[in-house]
Amino acid sequence: MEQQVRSVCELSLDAEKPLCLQFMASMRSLIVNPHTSNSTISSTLEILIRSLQHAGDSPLRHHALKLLDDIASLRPSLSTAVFDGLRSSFYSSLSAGSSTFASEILATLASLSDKHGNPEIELDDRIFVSLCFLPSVTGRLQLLTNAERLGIGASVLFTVFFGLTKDPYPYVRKAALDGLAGLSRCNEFEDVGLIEGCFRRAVELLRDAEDCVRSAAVRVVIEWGTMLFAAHKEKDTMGNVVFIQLCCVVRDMSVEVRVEAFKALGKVTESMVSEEILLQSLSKITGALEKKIAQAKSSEGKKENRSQAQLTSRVLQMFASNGAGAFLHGLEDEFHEVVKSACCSLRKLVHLSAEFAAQASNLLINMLNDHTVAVRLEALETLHYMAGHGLVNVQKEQMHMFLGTLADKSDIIRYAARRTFRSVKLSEVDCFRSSVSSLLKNLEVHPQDEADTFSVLFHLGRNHGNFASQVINDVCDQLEPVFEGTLSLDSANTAAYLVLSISAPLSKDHRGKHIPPHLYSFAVTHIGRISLGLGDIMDQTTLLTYLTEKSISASSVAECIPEEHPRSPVVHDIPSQDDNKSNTTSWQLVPCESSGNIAATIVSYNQNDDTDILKYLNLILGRVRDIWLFGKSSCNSEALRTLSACKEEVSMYRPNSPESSGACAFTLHYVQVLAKGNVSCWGTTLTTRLSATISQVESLLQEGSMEPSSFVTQVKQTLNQAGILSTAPLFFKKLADTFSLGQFTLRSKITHVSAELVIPGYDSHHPLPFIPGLPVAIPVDITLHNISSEGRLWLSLTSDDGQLTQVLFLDPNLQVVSVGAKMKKKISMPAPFYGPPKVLNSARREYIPRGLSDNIAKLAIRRARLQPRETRNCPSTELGRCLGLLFKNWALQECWYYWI
Amino acid sequence: GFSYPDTDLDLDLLQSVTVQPPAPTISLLNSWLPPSPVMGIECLVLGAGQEIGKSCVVVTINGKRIMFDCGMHLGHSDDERYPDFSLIDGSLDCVVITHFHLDHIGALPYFTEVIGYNGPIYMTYPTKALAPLMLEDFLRISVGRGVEEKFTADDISACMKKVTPIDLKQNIQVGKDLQIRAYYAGHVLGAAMVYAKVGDASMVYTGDYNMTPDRHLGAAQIDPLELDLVITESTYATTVRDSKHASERKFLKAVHDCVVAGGKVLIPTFALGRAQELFILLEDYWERMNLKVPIYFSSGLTRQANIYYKTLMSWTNQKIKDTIALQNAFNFKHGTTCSLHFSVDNFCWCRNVNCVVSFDRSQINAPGSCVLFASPGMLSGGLSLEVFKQWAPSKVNLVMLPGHCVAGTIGHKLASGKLTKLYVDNNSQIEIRCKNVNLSFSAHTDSKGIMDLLKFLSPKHVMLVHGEKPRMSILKNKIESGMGIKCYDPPNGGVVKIPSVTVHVKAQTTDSFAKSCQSPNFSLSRCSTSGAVFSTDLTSPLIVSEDRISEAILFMDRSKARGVHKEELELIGSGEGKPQVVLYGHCFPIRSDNLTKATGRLGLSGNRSWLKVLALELSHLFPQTNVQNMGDFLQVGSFQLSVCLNQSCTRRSSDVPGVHATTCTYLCCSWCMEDEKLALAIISSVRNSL
Repeated sequence: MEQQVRSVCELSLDAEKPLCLQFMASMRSLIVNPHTSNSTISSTLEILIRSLQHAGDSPLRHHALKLLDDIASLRPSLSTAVFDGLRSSFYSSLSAGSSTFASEILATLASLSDKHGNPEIELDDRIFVSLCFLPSVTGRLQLLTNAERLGIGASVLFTVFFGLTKDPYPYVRKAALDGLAGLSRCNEFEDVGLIEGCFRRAVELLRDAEDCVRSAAVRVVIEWGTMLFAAHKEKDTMGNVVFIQLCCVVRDMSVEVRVEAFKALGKVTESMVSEEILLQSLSKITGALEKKIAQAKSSEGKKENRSQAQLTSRVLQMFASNGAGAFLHGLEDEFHEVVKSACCSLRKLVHLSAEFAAQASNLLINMLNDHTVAVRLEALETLHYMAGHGLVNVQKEQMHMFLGTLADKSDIIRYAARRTFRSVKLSEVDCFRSSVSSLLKNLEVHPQDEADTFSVLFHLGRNHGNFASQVINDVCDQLEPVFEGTLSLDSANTAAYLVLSISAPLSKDHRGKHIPPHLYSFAVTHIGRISLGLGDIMDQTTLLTYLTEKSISASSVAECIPEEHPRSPVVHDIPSQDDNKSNTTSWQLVPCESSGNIAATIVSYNQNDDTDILKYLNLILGRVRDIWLFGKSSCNSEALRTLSACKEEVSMYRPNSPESSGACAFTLHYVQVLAKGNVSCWGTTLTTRLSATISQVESLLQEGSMEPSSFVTQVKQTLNQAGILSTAPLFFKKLADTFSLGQFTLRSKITHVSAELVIPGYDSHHPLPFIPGLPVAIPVDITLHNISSEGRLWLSLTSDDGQLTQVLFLDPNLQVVSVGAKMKKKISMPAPFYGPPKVLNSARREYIPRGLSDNIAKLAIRRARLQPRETRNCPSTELGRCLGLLFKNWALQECWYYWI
Repeated sequence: GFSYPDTDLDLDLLQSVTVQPPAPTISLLNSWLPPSPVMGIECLVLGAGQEIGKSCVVVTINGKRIMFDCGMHLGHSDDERYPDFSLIDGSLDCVVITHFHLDHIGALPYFTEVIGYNGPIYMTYPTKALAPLMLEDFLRISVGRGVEEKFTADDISACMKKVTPIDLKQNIQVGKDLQIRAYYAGHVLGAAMVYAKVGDASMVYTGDYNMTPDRHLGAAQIDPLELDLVITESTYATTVRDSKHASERKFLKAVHDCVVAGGKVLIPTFALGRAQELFILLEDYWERMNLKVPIYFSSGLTRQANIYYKTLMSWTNQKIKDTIALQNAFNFKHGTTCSLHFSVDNFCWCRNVNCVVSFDRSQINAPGSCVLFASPGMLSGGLSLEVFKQWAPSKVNLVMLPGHCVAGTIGHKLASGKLTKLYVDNNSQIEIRCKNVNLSFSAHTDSKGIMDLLKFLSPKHVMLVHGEKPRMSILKNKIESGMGIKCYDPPNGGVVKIPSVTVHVKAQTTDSFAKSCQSPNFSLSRCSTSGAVFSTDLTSPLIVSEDRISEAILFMDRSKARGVHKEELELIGSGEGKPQVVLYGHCFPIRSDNLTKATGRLGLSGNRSWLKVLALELSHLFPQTNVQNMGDFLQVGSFQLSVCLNQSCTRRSSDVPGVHATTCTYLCCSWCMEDEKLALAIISSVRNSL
C-alpha cells in the first residue's frame, strides 16, 4: 500500500500534473499512520513541497500546506525539512505573484516556528511591507498576526502596524493594535513623539465602532501609556492621562471592552496615578475634582505652564464627566465578568494608597450582597488578599454584610468567607464577638464546616488576642463540664471556644494571656476534633504537649526567651528559628501555613531544672517592672489585669524543690503587693502606714548596713512635711510618680520562711464552746517551713472586738509533732485564751458561728498571728529599694528570711 | 463591519474616513446636492417640557411625523392633565410608547378613542402587557375618588387592540421611509429607547432610562449610532448618585434586624417595578441566609403584574437570565404547588417554598414577624395605610419607605420624622412608635448616566425633556460646554428645529477606484496641530493618514453619483469632449469682530483689507508657501480664498454652533485635488486663529 501510493505520487509528479484530491487523501493516510516508514514520509514531503511550487493557483495548495503542517507535527524530526521546504516555496510563490498564498505559507511557517522552535523566519523587511500593501485582506491579517515571528525589525513593524490602524477592515485594525501592544514589550522605542503618537492613535480607536477594535485599543493604551509615562517629561500628568483615558472606557456598551478596561486599570503601576485621581475612580461624586478643574482653568491664563494647565483642565474635565467612579461602575455592572475584572484590578491597585484600599474595601464589602456566587466569591478573594496585607479594617456597620457571608447558603462562599476572616482585622471587641457567634451559629447549621471553622477561630484568636481572652473569660463558666445532668464536653460550641482559648496566648499582640488554665485541660478531651481543625497549624502531638504544658504551668511559651535578652519581657515576638539557641529549654518549631506573612510558629518546651524556674520567675519579675511603668502611664486597669495574670501564672507553678518554691512564693508575694500597691488609695491612713514601713525599712537597712535609697530618703522627707502641709496627698501622688520599680532579679536560692496556722474542727458549724470567765483551750495546728529550732515564735490571739490580745510563746522544740522533709515542722497544741470574749471566730476565714446556747458564749479570734523574732539581712540593694512597698502591706501571717 | 461593495459606496462612510482628525468638518457634498424640500428634524414638545409629567413629543423627521409617548400629568386634574393635541399640525405617521408608566402612556386611550387617532401605535411586549393594568388601576382609583376621567375601561381595551408590539432591536418599517427600532432602557420592565430614522436624518428618544443595572433590570443598552438628535430625559439633571449597594446594604440590615427581633416590616410600594426589585433583593437574601420569615406580597394589581414579570424574564437583567439558565429559578423549583400561590385577591410571587404564604387582612395582626409589600407607596391610602395603622404603635415594627415621598403624604411626614400621632378616625388616634427607614432607590439615570449615554452616542444635537427647569439648564450648559453639542430644553408647546446635517448619497464606483481602495495607502507624518485627543503643544506626535479613499472624486451627474479615481479624471473629461478640473470648495464663517480688530491694528478697513490681514497671517503661518494677494482673493497654489458675500453660496456648510449670521463673515475657498492637504491646513489654521 505504502509503496503503491508512493509510486503513484511520484508518477503524477513526474508528469508535472497538479495533485488530485484523491492522492492527497492517500498521502494523508500515510502521514497519520505511525508505521509508515520515514523514507516514504520524506518522499511525500518532497512531493508536497514540489507540488506547492508547481501547483499554480490550484485550490489544492491549501490541502498540501495542511499536510505539510501535519508532517511537521507528527514527525518532529522532519519539521526542519518542512520548514526549509516551505520557506523556499514561499519565495517561489512570491516571485510568481501569488501574494495571498505567500502569506498563507508564512502563517504556516510562523506556527511551525512556534510549535517546534524552528529558527525564526528571516523575512526581508521589504518583502514584508510589500506583502502588507497588497490588496488581499486575509493575507494582510495573517501577516499582521504573525508579524512578530517573522524576524522583522521593530521599526518596520511599528510603521506597518501604526499605519494599518487606519485600515477600514476592523479585524486588520485589531491585528495592528495587537501588534502594537506586543511591540511595547521590545523596549526599542525611545522617541517620545512616536510613543505619544501611538498612544493617541489608540485613544482615538477607543471610540471605534467595532468592539474588538476598542478592546484591542485598550490594551495598546495601557502598554504604550506606560511607556509614555516612563519617557515623557511631564510624568505626573501623563500617568494620570493614561489612567483617566482607561477610566473613561469602563462605561463602554460592550462587555468585552469593559472587561479589558478593568484588566488594563489593574496594570497601572505605582506613581503613575496620583492619589486623588485614584480615589476619584471610586466615587462618582466629583466635588473635589470640580474645584481642581476650576483651579487648573484659572491658571491657564498664566503664561508659563499654559499648555500644562490646559491639558490638566481638559483631562480632568473629561474625567469628571466620564471617568469618575469607574470602579463603582465596574462593581455595579450587570455582567459578572466585568465585576470580577473590576475586583481583580482593585486587588492590584490597593497597594498604591492606604486611603484607596480603605474605600475599596468598603465597596467590596457591599459586593458581598451580590446576587451572583461568582461575584461574591471574587469580592471575598479580593478582601482576603487585602486582609492578608493588612488593608482591611472592618467597621462595625459593615459587620452585618460581612458576617452574612459566613452564613451563606453556598459552601464555597462560606469557605472563602472563613478564609478572609482568618486574616481580617477587627476594630472592636463587639465585632469580634459577633464574628465568633456567627461562626458558632454557622457551626450549628453546617456541622460539616467544623474543622475549617476551628481553624478560623484559631486565626481570629491569634490576631485578636485580647478580644479572644475577653470573650473566653465571659463564657468561661459555660465551658465548665457539668457532671450533674448532661455532659456538655462534646458540644461543638465548647470545642470552638476551647480553640479560641488555645489561640489567645499565641496572639500576635501578646495580649491574650488571661485564659484560665483549666480550660486547657478541657481542651485535651477535645484533642481529636480540635487537632483536625488545626491540622494546618500543628499536629496532634504538638497540640497535646502544648495543652499539657499550658494546663500545668499556664505560663505562656512566648515568655520563655533566651538568656541574652533578659530585659525585654513584655513585648517580644514568638521566637523564630534564629532565636532558638537556648540550651536549657528544648524548643520545637512546627512550621504551618506559610501564605503571606501570616506564617505562624508554635512552640512547645520542656522544663528541665531549677535554673529554668529561676529564669522564668526573673522573666515575670522583669515583666512586672515593665507593667509598673506601663501602669504609671495611665492604663491602670490593663496593667492590673496583666499583673493578676502574672500572679496566676506564678501561683499555677508547682515547684519541685524547696529552693524554687521559695523563689515562687517570693515572686508571688512581690506581685501581689504590687497589685495592691498599684491601686491603694491615698487616704489619711497612708501617712501612718508609710511611717511604719519606713521605720521597718530603716531597721532592715541598718541590719544589713546598707545606705537607704534616694526614694526612701525622699519618702522620709515628705513624711516630715506631710504633717504641716494640707496638700500632702498631692505630695504623695508626686512621690508615687517619681518612684520607679527597679528590675529585680533572683540570682540564687531564696528560702521562704513561713508558717501555717489552722484551728482544727473550727468553722461556722462547729463553734468553740466556752464558759465565760474560764480560759478557752483553742486547738492549733501549726506548720512551720524553714524555721530553725533556734527561732522563737509567738502566737498572738486577738479577740473579735480587738480589745483583748494575748501573746503566747511557742517553743518549737517542745511542741513539735513531726519533722517532715525539707525543713517542715508540725506543731499541734491547745492554746489557752483568757477572758470573756463573746464570739470565737477566725477573722481570717470569717466564719460566723451559729446555734449556740445562751450560757455558752462565743469566742472570736480576730487575728492569730505568729510573730517572727529574727529578721536577717536583705538579699540585695534592689530588694531594699522595693521594700518600701513590700512592708506597706505587712499585715500578714508570714515573714521572710532572705539570704544570699 | 466595513466592506467595499462592488458597485455602491456609502459615501457618508467615506467622508468619515477621509476627514483627518485635526481638519475642520467640511461638507463637500452639500454644495453638489439639490436642497430637499423639508429636510431636518422638527420637535414639538407637548408635555414634559421643563417639567416632569405627561411626556409627549411630536417629532417630524424629513416630513415623517412621530409621537413619542402620550402621557398624562398626575399633578393636574383639569385640562392640563393631557397634552394639548390641538397643536399638532397635520397627521401623525405613528405613535411610539416607551414604557407603561402613566406619565408616558396615560393619555393614549384618550388620544386614540376620544381624539380619534387611528394610526399605528408601537410599544414593547411588556409595555403592552402591563400598560392596561396601570390604566385600569388608575381608572379604578379615580372612580374611587369620584373623579371622572376622559376615557373609560372600554376605551383602554379598544386602544390596546390597536397596539403593535415590538421587540428589542427589531427594525420596524413604518410606511416607506420611516424606520424605528427599540433599544433596552432599563428603568422598568419593557422600557425602551426608540431610534427613528427617515432618509438620512436619525434620532433617538430615550424615554426614561437607567444606566445602572438594578436587581431585576439591566442597564440601558444601545448601539453606537450616528444621530442628529437625542431627546433624553433629565429627571436627575444635576444629581450624581453614589453606589446603590450601600442603600441595599442598609435596607437588608434594617429588615433583617427587625425580623430577627420579632418585628413586622411594612414596605409600602407601588405595585410595579420597585416592588419587584426589592422583592428580588430580599428574597435573594432570604435564600442565601436561609431565613424562614414569610414575605407577603399583597395587591390585586401586583398579582397580574407578577405573572407578566415571570413570563417576561427575557426583559430583566443578565443575572436573572443566568439564574434561569442555572436553576430555573422562577419556575416551580420546589414542585408544582409552591411557587405560585393564589388566593382570591392576594398573591405571593416567590420561588422559595418557605415564604410562600397568601396574605389577607386577617393576618395583619397574626403573631410572628413577617415582611409585607403593600401598595400604594407613600402610605397614601389603601392597604398600606391600613396595615400601617395596625403596626405603627409597636416599637419592634419597621416601615421601610423605599423611595421619595411626595410632600403631604403620610409617608413624607413619617420620613421627615414629624409623625408621632395619627388619627385613625375622628375619635381615636394612635401613637407612632415603629422605626422607619427611608431609602432612595431610583430607576432613573443620574446626571453622570445621561452624560455617559450622550458621550457614547455623540449626537449632533441634544434635547432635554422630563426634568425641572433650573436643573435642566445646568445640564444643558454642561453638555454644551463639556461636549460641544448643541442642546435645547424647550418648554411645553415649544418647537425645536434641527437642520439635517448628514446626507447620504449612493454612488457607483469605477473599477479602478474600487481596486485602489483594496490596498492600504497610508502615510505617516509628524503633526503639530492641536485637536486630536488633547494637546500639550510640546511634541509633534506621529499621525497617520489613510489616503486610499480620498483619491476618489465624486461626480454628480443629474441624480446619479459616481465615485471615480483621480487617475480616471481625464478619461471622463475626454469622454465629454473637454478636460475637467475638479475644484473642492468650502465656505465657512469667522467672527467679523476678530477680523475687524485685526485690520484696525493695521489701520485698514474694508473687505480688501481683511484679505491683506489674512495674507499676512498665512505667510506667517506657512512660511514655505507663496501667498499671493490678487486683490479680490488670496492664492496659494491652486488654493483660493475670498470673502463670500453670496448668502446662498453652494459651498457653505450648515450652521456652525456658536456663530450667528449677523456677527460673522464667510470666507469661501476652492482648491484642486493636489493641494487638498495644504487647503485643509490653511482652513483649520484660519479658523483657529480667528
